Amino acid sequence: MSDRPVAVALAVVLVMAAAAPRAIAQPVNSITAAIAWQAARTVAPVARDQGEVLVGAGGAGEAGEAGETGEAGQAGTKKGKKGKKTDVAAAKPGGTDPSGFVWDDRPSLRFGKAFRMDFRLKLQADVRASSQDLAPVGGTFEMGRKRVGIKGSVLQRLEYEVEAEIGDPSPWRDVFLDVKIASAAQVKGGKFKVPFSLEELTSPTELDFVYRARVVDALAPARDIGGLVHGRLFKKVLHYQVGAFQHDGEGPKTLEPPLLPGEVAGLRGRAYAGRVVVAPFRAASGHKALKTLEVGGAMVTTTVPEGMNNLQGRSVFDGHFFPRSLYVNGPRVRTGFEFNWMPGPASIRGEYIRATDAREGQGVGDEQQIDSTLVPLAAQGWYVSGTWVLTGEKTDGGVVAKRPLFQGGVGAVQVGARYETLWFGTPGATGPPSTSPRTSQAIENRDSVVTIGVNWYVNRWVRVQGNAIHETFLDPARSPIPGRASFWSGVCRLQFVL
Amino acid sequence: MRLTGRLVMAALCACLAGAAASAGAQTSDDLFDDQVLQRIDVHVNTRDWYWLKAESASNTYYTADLKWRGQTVRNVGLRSRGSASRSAVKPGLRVDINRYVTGQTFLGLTSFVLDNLETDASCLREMLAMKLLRRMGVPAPREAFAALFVNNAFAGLYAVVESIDETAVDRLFGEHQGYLFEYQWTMVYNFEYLGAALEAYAPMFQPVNHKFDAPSTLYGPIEAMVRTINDAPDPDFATSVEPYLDLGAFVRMVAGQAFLAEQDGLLGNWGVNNFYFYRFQGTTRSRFIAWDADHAMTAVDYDLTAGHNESVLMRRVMQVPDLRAAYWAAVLEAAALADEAEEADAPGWLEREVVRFQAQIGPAVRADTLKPYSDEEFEQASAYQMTFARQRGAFVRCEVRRLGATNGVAAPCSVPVGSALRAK
Repeated sequence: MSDRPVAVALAVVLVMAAAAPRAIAQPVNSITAAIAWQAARTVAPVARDQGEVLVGAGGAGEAGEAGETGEAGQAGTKKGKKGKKTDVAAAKPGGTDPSGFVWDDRPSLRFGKAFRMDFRLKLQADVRASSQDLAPVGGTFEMGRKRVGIKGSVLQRLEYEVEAEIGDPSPWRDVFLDVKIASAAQVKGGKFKVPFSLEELTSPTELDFVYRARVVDALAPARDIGGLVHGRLFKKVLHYQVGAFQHDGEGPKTLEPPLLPGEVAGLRGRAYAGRVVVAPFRAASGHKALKTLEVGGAMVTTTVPEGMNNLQGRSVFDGHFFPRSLYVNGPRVRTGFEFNWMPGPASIRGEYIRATDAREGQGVGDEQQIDSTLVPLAAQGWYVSGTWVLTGEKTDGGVVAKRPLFQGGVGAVQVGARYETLWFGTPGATGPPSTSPRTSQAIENRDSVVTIGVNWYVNRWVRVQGNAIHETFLDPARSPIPGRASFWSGVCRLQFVL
Repeated sequence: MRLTGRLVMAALCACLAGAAASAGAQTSDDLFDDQVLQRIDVHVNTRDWYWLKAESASNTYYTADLKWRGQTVRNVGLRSRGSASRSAVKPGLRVDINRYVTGQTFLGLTSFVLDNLETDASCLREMLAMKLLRRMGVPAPREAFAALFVNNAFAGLYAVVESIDETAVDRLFGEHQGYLFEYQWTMVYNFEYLGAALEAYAPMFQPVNHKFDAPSTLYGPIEAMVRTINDAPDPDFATSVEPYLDLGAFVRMVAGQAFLAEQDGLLGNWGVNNFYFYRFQGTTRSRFIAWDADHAMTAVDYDLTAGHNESVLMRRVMQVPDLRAAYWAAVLEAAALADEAEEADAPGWLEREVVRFQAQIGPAVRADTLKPYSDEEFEQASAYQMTFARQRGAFVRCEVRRLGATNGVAAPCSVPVGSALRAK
């Protein structure tokens, strides 16, 4: 109910945005200069602002969503492609950098190249339908995100971002500083996403589909407080990220088993993460269509305290198909492999992720050993997705409508499909499958999902997404609709991003 | 370990070795074979075992593996059980075989009970009482003594008791599709009519199966039975109640409990208690099933008419000549079974069973450091059961003669001078 005013505000904003002329960066105190500047930009269209950072190429801010795509390091997800990148100052009449309060697709405070502060707003509203009862998981209408923030740079060497979710008891999302020592060596500290998974590191406002793949949602760590060293090598062919974090991402609180007298609660261990992405054809001459091809791998290790802290499987609409009901204890290891290719108006990408939770001392034991160690709990899955922009816009750098609605066109229209699967079980375990929290062999379950989607980029601020989703569960008894193995769902998302 | 302790453990091991040697047949009858001391091993995470004991009042289930005679059942559910017998030191246990594994059974059983023998220093009452009732043909659970080992350590002497569930009902009555209820003691109740509202009966009669059926289906026949017991005219009492209750079976069970001096049964000191109630499939007719007899055999001179006036049902049953005669005949039958000797002047059946069980469990009881009574108290209580076994039959026969011949006017029968009349 509390989302209603925000929804109304979003609707108003959407209407205004749809009717607004294509915005330009203009000092608010100089209409004349703005007109001239607009003329210049018409000749050399500005890339989407996410790429319009004032630091040099290769900076974290280059990708715009510093906490998400910014650290993804994906050529394809970067919004500021070099070819289209247009420095505000360079395009401005006279060649001077703007100072003061400017409008450059969003409000921004700038002092030449020395300082920049963009004011950000992300709003998403979803209308959902499903055979699954949605009442327990938020109902048929949901305000997905209501985020505000600032983001910018200082002296072209320091980038920062502060982002918060309105109305969330734990509001802070990305809060970090990123210092550029060299293109090959940057140091980032604060709260941001643990570098793992292409899709997890992609901003929710840039996803091809309304929801991330189940395997990403379930297995990829999210944000945490930590430090990261990252950079690009070999003419940006290789992007590396190595970091240490307090934990393995914000997740549900650990559920300790009842402590024995005198026993101290176990602590969640630090997480150590590494990720490498290679674009083998980026620096090569020729192979133009392959320049955007990237492959990568990542690993995150941490220690999970004793308790019912296993990774859990949730359906698209938060129905548990593999609940948090197994005792685990010890190392959690995540490994992931990814590829991403965005030739012209098409894109194809996929990931494979596997995570294991150790269960040291969680068994019931036998004649030889008390509190035996159980076979690790495993979760694994993959997805592959493809999209095509019917209106011809390129996907590399993000789809930007060439002819926005009310500006001579209807915007950009993209269609796509994704197949994904997420499985939980205990490979190699013996004994009867059981629902016991200390079972050797857990009863496996799998969610296989087909998503068909269409994205309408109304203009640079507004996007409408529609997804039809078909889920199939291996164990119908633990489907969100008990006894029913498969069902359809649908979602429509309205999005406004400054 | 002191020498005495070592000797006790050695004797216990010898008993268990005898049990192991007899392994081979693998049926539930073997598990409940009281000719040997069973050995049951339970493996449970030490954290779970600690909290099962520490929170013994809770019914929280914990995972365990169960081993018996070389058979292992994994992922059974284990929880504390009992009412007055709940213990944080030596917990009574319920073992649910299919708690975590759908359809899993052990020797055809889906559950059983490990009775901690908490309230009986002799450890014999429950075992002997149920055995006599079964000999009388009264529906009662099978039982055997068992040495329980938890995580490879001796955890005490227990009785392994057959759960009264659909499996047991199938064994007892040849069907299990009917309605099975466990009686829960909530107040002193003697089958008084509580009105037409079914909510009055629901707390006492808790369904074991068909739990989600409509209250009218579950409790309607019970309300009708109690109403009929209270309201049926005297001449029509038996014919009116018979559609709801097998009165002949009721009389035999009550008679058996009377012989056994059961203070906490169908005619107990605190109202009706300790029974299951099964309503046959497609009918309104029901039968009682005996349960929990650890307050039996506590007084050689226990009154054979105890509770008759308090219980509406028993009071009215005894007003029906045929049923009254059946009652006294069943009491005498119980006495005869208890005193059945293999030859003249030889010990009766009940006495022989006491002797046999004492020998079977003695080492385990002495090795059981978790029992809530001393070895001396065990010896005294055990000795009293011998007295009961020897003297109860004669007392009962005397009382039946007295009550039958003089309608109870003559002085009560006596027991040999110097004998203990009451269990301590």
